[in-house]
Amino acid sequence: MKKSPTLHWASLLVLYTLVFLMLYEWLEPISELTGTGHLPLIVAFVILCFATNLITIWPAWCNTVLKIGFIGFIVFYIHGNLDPAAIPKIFDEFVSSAKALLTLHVDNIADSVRTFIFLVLLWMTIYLIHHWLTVRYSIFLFFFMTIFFLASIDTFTEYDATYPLIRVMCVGFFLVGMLFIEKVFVNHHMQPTLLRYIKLMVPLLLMIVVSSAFAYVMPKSEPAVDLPAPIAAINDWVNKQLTPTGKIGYVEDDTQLGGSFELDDTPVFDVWAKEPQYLRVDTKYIYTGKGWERKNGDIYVRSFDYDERVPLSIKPGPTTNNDTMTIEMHKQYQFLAQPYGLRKIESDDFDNNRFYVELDTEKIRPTNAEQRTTLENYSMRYSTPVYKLSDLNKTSMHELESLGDEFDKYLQLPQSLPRRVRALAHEITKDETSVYDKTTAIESYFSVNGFRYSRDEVDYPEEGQDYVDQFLFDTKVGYCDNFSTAMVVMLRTQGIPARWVKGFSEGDVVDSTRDTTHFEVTNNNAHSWVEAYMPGVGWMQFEPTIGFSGFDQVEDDTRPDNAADASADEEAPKAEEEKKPTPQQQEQQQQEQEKQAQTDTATTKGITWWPWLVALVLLVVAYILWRTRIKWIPRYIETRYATKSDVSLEQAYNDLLKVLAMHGLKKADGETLQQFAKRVDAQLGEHHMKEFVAHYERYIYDPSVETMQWDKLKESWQYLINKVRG
Amino acid sequence: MDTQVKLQAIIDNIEKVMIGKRHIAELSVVALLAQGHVLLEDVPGVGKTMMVRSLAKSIGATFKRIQFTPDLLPSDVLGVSIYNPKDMEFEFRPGPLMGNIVLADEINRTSPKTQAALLEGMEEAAVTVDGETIEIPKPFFVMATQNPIEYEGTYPLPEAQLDRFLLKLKMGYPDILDEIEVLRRAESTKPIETLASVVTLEELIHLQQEVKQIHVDDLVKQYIVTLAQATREHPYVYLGASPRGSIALMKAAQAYTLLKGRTFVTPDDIQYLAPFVFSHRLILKPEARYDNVSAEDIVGRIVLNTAVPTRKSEAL
Repeated sequence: MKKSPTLHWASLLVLYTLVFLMLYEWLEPISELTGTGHLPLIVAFVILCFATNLITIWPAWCNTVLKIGFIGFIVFYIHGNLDPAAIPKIFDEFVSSAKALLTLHVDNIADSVRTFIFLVLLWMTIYLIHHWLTVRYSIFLFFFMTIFFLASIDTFTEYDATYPLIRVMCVGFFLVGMLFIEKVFVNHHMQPTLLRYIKLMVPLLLMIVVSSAFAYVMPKSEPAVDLPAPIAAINDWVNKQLTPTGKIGYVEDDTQLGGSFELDDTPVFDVWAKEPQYLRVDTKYIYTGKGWERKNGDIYVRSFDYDERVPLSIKPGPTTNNDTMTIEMHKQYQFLAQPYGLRKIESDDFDNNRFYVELDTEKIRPTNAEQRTTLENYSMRYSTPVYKLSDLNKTSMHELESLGDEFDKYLQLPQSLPRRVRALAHEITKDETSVYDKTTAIESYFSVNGFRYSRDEVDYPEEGQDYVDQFLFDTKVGYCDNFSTAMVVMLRTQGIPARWVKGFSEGDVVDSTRDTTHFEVTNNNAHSWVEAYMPGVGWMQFEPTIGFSGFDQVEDDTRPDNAADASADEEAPKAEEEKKPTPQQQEQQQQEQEKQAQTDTATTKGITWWPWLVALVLLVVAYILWRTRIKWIPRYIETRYATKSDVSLEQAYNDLLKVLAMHGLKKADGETLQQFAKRVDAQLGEHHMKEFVAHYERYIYDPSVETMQWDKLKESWQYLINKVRG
Repeated sequence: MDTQVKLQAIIDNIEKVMIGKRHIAELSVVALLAQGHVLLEDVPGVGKTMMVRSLAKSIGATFKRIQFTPDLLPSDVLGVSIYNPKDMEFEFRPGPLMGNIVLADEINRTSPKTQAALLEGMEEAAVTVDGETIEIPKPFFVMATQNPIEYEGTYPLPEAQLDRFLLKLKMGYPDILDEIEVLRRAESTKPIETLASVVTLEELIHLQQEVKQIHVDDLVKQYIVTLAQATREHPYVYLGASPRGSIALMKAAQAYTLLKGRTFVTPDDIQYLAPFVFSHRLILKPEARYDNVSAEDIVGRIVLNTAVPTRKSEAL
């Protein structure tokens, strides 16, 4: 049933072309959606893989070497620009990525290694396809997966798979039909001839063409308008029902805090400033036990103009700190992000905007012709506030009592607040005297008492459970909202006025010059922290969230060289301030740092190499044993039989068959003993197998032979075993 | 005389006349020993008659020949009772079937009625005429021939009746050297006339009994049945070998083993005989004919692909 070579190659070529077309429908969206470049190179690799599967005239290792070489070339071309100087870099990336893989830090794998892994996986996929095509004669699974893949990305991404789907359908049906024809030829032992191909293919093609044309011409109903949009529905489902995971970002509504968050690196705005810093958006002061609310009723605002002083409760720092910040908004937010110590918004010649501050939240709104608007570009003059440690040390609880009524709202607490929160706050602060020390005691409480930062292990508080109480006593796991809200509430229980601040942490550095640094602030940088009122000093910001380094705002003027009144009592807070590294860490960087830290510890401890080493040694030993099996297995079997007195003939026969199989003499199922013996003797010379079989046959098929003397067989048996060993 | 020597003598004897057809001679003897019958399928003139006559001469048996024609009646085969006015009684006149070695030539030429009479006689080793059953003398061996080429005016035997034949053989043409030798011998005398019997009928009957003593191990029986079952499951086969077919294979194998002078049957014997025993018992699907696959091909393929039991632990 052999095909003529031309026909064989022609049919294979057609099959492979069709499969290639189908595989290409995978590559195109991948490169389009994931930004994987160099599609021609990848396609070239695919063609190479297909070709080496088809042409098997080389020794097998040649194929492998060729493909690995090509992968190497692609990696070198893409990640090293064919510059020999890049080789060490790529090599380093491979080494560090290998470490990352071993320690399961998948995020740290370098791009070059990703390319490498992608190509290797592609190679394996093609091998699988080859198997499907030439051995199983079935491609339906791949066909189905392609359709499924295209339909999925068409639904969930912006990729338009309308025409790819039609193409894949046609190609797939043709492929499945053609493989079916091949299968029919093989299963029914039919001689494949060109005529038979034509006889079968023409109806197949006709059917595909006619049915496609029919499907194309037939009227189709428009997509129903009120169909549930799958993306929105699924997003909804994911966000709300299944896991309470929202996306991180700035939101107005904070009445229901809690739930996990996903990272989202959509840019919000870009900042050009000298120093990295937190940017404040608004503050809230009504705590409900579940979240933060604004007061109902009228909102009082104070308007101001470009270059006018911005009316905020945070006092700007000394004029020596004066600086300018430029912001370019990407989202349509109708507010300004404000640096601490904001003085004025610098004039802009091109528009007639005015601004107002909402007095309860201190949110700055830009307006244009009395309408709120989004300001896309603006520059701000500010000077970062600095607080003197000596002043802070003087803040006393007595002064708080004499504060006016306007501070009462910053002490508001819900009736339902559990007592233990207050008790805990008291416990934390009882040893401190100044307001500032009490505040920093609470601020640093979280870092040493078993609290953990996590974005994705946070539940909503249960019915009747207080948000702060849940965090402080039950879960001890949370993100910025948990930490900051808990700190505000604890401060208030001790009579220290405090409010909750929302804004953004400093963002990623894009590039920097000598004077300014360019930061990109994304949704991941949305953050919340605390402002507390220090009597005699004013509002001051605090950062209770662990993993965030906080603010460098306190100037230590109590040191002996700065001030004469340095005392031992003041050493403690000073030391604490020193412990705090420079601020300017943001969530994602922080996270990466944590990961880095983990990796570093792993590296410094040494990756636990030995299990890998042992595995490697075992692998090598196994390989050597496998390669030399033809030497040692016969010897082992022989020595085992040498000492045996009662040998089971069947066992001896089995072992002999095993040894012969290793030598390439495998008994076929339908082969009788004598036929096999003839084949073995033809190859090994002499007639020992025939002799062995003559005895063994008698033992197997003739019951008159009760016991068989092993001695009679032994000689032939040993000869054969030895012969195989060589 | 030793069993094997006797049997070889028969075959040698036949070979004196039938040049280059030793395996056909062997298989014919196998069928004779297994008390079965042979269907010879071949074109005229290749020596079918000569084969049977030489076999009959070698064992000193009576040889009868029936040429089947469309107008042949069952009584022409079995015999007929005729009123004898002398004795005032019906007297049975035996037909040509009442012989030791019978050549039934071109059985597909006669009517189904006459075919049935022949096949019944073969199966029962007895004929029933006018309610009287008369045993056919032993040994009884029928060699039927049919011509596969001419189908005009023939009545092909149904497969159920083909089942009655132990083996189906094909003579085939002799090769060039053999045919030259055939010519050379035909020049001088008719060699068949010179043949003498090498065994007596009694000895032959004794040999037939000996066949039953040949051991067939359970493993080998298992192999036979596996093969038979494989024919039933083959995609090209509409009807596979029956249990009667399995029995036939076993009996043939026993006879063949005796012929080869061994005491137990091996799978090799089974593999050798399977195509001769099974191929005329299979009814193929039309697809097989389209694909130009014969029953012999299918049996050969089954033999090639069915695992041979070579360990006691493989017994079911």
